[in-house]
Amino acid sequence: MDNVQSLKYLAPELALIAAILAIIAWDLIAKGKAKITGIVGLAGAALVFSGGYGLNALLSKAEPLTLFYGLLAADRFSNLFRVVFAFVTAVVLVFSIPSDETPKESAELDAEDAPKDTALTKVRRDPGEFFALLLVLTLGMNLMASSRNLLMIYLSLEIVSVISFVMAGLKFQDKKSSEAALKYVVYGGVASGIMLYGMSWIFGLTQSLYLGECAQRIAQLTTEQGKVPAVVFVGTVCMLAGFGYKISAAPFHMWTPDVYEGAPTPVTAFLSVGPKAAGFAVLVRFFWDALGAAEMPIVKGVPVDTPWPVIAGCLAMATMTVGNLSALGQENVKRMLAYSSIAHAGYMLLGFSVFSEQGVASMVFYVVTYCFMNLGAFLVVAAVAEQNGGDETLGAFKGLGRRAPLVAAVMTVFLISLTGLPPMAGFVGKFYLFSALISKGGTWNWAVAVVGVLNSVISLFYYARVMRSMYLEKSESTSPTQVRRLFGAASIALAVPTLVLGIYWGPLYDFVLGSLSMVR
Amino acid sequence: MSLRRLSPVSVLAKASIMSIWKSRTRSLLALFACLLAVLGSFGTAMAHDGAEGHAHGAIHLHADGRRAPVELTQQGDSLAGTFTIENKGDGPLKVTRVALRDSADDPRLPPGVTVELEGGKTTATIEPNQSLKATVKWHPSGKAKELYGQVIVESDAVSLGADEPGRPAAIGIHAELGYGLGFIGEHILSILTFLPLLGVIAIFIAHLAGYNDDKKLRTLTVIIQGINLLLACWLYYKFDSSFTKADGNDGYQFIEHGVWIRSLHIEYFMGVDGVSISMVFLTALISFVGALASFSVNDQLKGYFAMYNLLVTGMYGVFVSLDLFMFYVFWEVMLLPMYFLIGIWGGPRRQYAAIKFFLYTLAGSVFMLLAFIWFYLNCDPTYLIDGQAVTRTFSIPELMRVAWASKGLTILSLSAVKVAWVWLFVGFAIKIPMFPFHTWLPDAHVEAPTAISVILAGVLLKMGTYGIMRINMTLLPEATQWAAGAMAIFGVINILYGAFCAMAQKDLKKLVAYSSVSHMGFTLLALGAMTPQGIQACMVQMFNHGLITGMLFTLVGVVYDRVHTRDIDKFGGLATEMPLYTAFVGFAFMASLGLPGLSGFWGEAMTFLGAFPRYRALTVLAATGVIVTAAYHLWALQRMFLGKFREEWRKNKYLEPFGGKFPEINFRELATIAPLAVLVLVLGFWPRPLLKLIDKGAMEIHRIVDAPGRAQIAATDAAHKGVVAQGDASHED
Repeated sequence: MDNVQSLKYLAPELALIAAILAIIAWDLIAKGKAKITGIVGLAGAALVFSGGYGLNALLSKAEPLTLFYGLLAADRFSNLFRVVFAFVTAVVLVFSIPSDETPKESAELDAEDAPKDTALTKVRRDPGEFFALLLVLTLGMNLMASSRNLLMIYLSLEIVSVISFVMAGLKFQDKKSSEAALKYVVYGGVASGIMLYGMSWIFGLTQSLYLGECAQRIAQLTTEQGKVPAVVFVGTVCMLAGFGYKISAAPFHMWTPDVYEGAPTPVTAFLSVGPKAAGFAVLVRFFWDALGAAEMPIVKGVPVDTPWPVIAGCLAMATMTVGNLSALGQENVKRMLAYSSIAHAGYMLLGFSVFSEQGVASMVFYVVTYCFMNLGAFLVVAAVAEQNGGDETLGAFKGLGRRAPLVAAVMTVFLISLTGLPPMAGFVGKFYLFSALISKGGTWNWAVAVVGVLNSVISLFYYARVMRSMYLEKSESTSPTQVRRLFGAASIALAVPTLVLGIYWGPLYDFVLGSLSMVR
Repeated sequence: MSLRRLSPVSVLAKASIMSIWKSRTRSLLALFACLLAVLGSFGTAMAHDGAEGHAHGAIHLHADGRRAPVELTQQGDSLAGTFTIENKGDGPLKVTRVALRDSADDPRLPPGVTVELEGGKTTATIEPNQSLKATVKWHPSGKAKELYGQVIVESDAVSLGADEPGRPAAIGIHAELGYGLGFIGEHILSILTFLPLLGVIAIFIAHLAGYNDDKKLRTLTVIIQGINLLLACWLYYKFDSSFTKADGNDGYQFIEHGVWIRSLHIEYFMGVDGVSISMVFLTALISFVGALASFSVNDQLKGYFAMYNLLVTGMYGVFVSLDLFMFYVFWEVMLLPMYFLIGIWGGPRRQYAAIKFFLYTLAGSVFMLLAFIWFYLNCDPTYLIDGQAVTRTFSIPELMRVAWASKGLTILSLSAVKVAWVWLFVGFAIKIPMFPFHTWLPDAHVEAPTAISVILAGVLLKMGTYGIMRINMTLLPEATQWAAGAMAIFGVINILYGAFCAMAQKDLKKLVAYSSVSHMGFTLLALGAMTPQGIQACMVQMFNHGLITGMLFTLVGVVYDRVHTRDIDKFGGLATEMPLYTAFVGFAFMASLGLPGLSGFWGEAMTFLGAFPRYRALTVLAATGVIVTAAYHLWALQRMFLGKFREEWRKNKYLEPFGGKFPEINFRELATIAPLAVLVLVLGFWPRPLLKLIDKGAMEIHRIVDAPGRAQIAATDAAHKGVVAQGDASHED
């Protein structure tokens, strides 16, 4: 489809761009309370439009298309992710609304020793830039999920990366935040360099940047050589560095804990869900579209093994294990959740490593459930830290079961769900992942599944540590902790689906399963 | 020369011609293939059109007024219901057969059910957009009080919405004669399970509403568990202990069956049979007793009773679930409340004990989950209860029909049934707890508050053995036979190891905890034997051990509440201080060591009876365990209650409010122990009610799991040859 015609199908992204520009303008014009209201309103409207467009396209069973002469895909897969990204960004938007008045004590605290401050009041001088950047990130993620061209993949990935660097460093006076940003830049630079190098191998071999054309050429070469060509293997492994960096898969996960700990909590929450989901989207599209990994190549009537399941399986096992084992000893809850998010990337890779439709469905379903539980957990951390002078360690959670029973209960729901125990959404997600592995069968998949369930058990230990702090340990102060009403409401709004989806998830899974078709 | 020079050229030319020819043939072939493909697709399109135009109709079944299942209602002396076969296609629909999903050698339905097409036809042709009615009738002549099943309609069109093509359409049928009590009677198991959950919700709402009179929650919980106990008594009263598989409904009673998650084929499926009924009753009894014992808890009562009720929901759920997924959900639902109950309201090392319990159980249950998924993915095609044709299921009775061992599947290059069996068994063995997975138990028991110890020992440990009977033995009988010896050996290790450990304990609660390990060993030995007496013995031992340890832990709690220590050696001569308490402890200890006349005797005696024919040496070894058991009980009794009372207790700070005297066991504590003690005594002299209850369940498991031995087969052969005149020498059941 040519460029002008394509624009129509790019409406969500255009809306985001318009909102970004409008926010910047509004930020310059408006003053006082209206400023933040207007910004949030604009951003919210753009997100609702983007998500609504995607949902509408899914529900109306719109025809899949390729846009801009094949650069982008407008199919069910990209629309599903549009909805997911809009939802995630909207939640983070709610997260990031600064409190109307700074609590008195902390204001006094400010006066006495300035550097100690809550996460949110010190985040930014001007809210406008934060929200504008957030929308740029969403734009980048939308593009990532729909890219069908190597260059487009690279560009959209870089949009997301670069903006993420900036957002990680938003606590401009905080050393940790700056360290996080710098680390992120360095790792990001290296990873995208390697990825670009890998792309050049693929391009050199196939003479095309379009995934569809790559696929044809690779299939042809595979048939001729009787195996996946070594060039493709090298190129793909190099590209995996870029993708792995985005989804924080081991061994490309090193940046994660520092960035997650240093960045402002809303940003961390966002990074742990949004770009990760986008990374998975592009990963799946690349392997399906360019490598045709879902079907075994058939040479002379005999199916040939591809190296992809083993690579992905190893990646999954390493990621889960590294994430879970490193999380065991963490005292800082945010840092612990960072490692846990690495582990969860590993679980999602389990679904990916099967290379079947069921596998992708289970993976995407897990991404959806993970959105609820992980965003919720970070939200509670932000809420608790806000009341404890920015303290994010386990100590801040001590006795929360008595001081703020509802928040503690909600956090328990998220933690149980993250562990993967019924009757929570996380369990259902894991159930699908493991059944995808087992239904594929074979010794390798069984072994991966066994490693997966063992990791679930390990993860219980560190999630239970938070529960222990909340309920089993007593805090010095027994005065009730009041979290902001907005945070309380938002966390309950996330906990309810976490619980409900654990009891009745049929329609959601069917919806996800029906929304995976990609343009080929 | 020229020839020589020519020949390569000619060869080349030939080759090039050949290659051109080849490429041409190839391209021709490709063209041909394309043509074929186009034609083929056209053809299929035509055929498709044809399907809509001429040959086939599309079948759609629906009950009157609703989709499914067909509700049979009382009409005269029988029940009847109709459903409609509708042709939603363009062509005529030929219905070739309407039949019940049932057969003589694999009964699913109770006797007396018939189905026929309108006008008594056997086949019919339905024109497009026409429909035909079919009637299902049930003359209830057997023991069944309800009916769950499917009617299959075979036709030349396939069922819409089926997982795979070619399956005949089906529709579910359902009828209730009622057990009495109306709605409550029909949904008794759901009510038993979810009534405590309502309590949790009520407490949550009370919290939101800022209700502060927490002490009332105790009464609320006692009332809820009391209602449940009454309902369980009613269930016991109405339960037909002579009901077997031949009476239909796969031998289950009080069934609740519906579809929960359609896309994953998960059903909401509850029912009780001889295996679970005693456990449901035990759960009701122990959770009532536990609620009474919870009066000694004074801290954070809202949280405590919310968790307590949630735990009870999980326990009921495990014993009544007949769908593996549901079973797993309830199994895991128990973990979190238990973690908090031990971790918040427990003793000094509660945090360690709580997480240890949690990790151990989860480690076992994740492998159980893998085995469940394996069952689910490899089972035979079946129908959901409302008639949807599916390829996979979690339903236990359906999975029991699958010949797992003969499928020849592998997991990790090992025999799949064996691997699955071991995974399941480890999950259950951790709960029992079997040596070497038992180490969580002493910690958890010692740290848990009294009521929770009672629940833990009384009900939770039984879930392990229940799971082995319900899942390992009935689904994987071949693998069970393969592992039976190991099970028996581990049982004997448990008996002896637990007994010796108990003997070494100074802490009274730890002693009781290790005695649990020892006593649960008997269940394993009994199961390993697989004889009818063995399986009965296991169930009897499960029930009685629940009663007796419930009593023991309550009694330990009594003395701990008074002086905050359980160290056996610190006491002495308590008999003069608390005579009534001493009497009860003596009674409970005697029951625990298996004194004839008290219920503990039956489990052990029957275990020996059941195991002796199979494992002589092991049974003898196990019997020596009984001596050790007697030794540690009597020794503890002697150290605590006999001898001289120590005068330093008079100055103990905990006894100050009572003037330096041990206060006698009070009314609430007596009320806690009394029901258990009465049952122990009654069942000791008259075990018939219990045995009758579990008899058919035990026989069924024995029939499934215990393949005829060589001797029996020889006897049967001999009988066939006419050597033995009375041909039923091999008759087992």
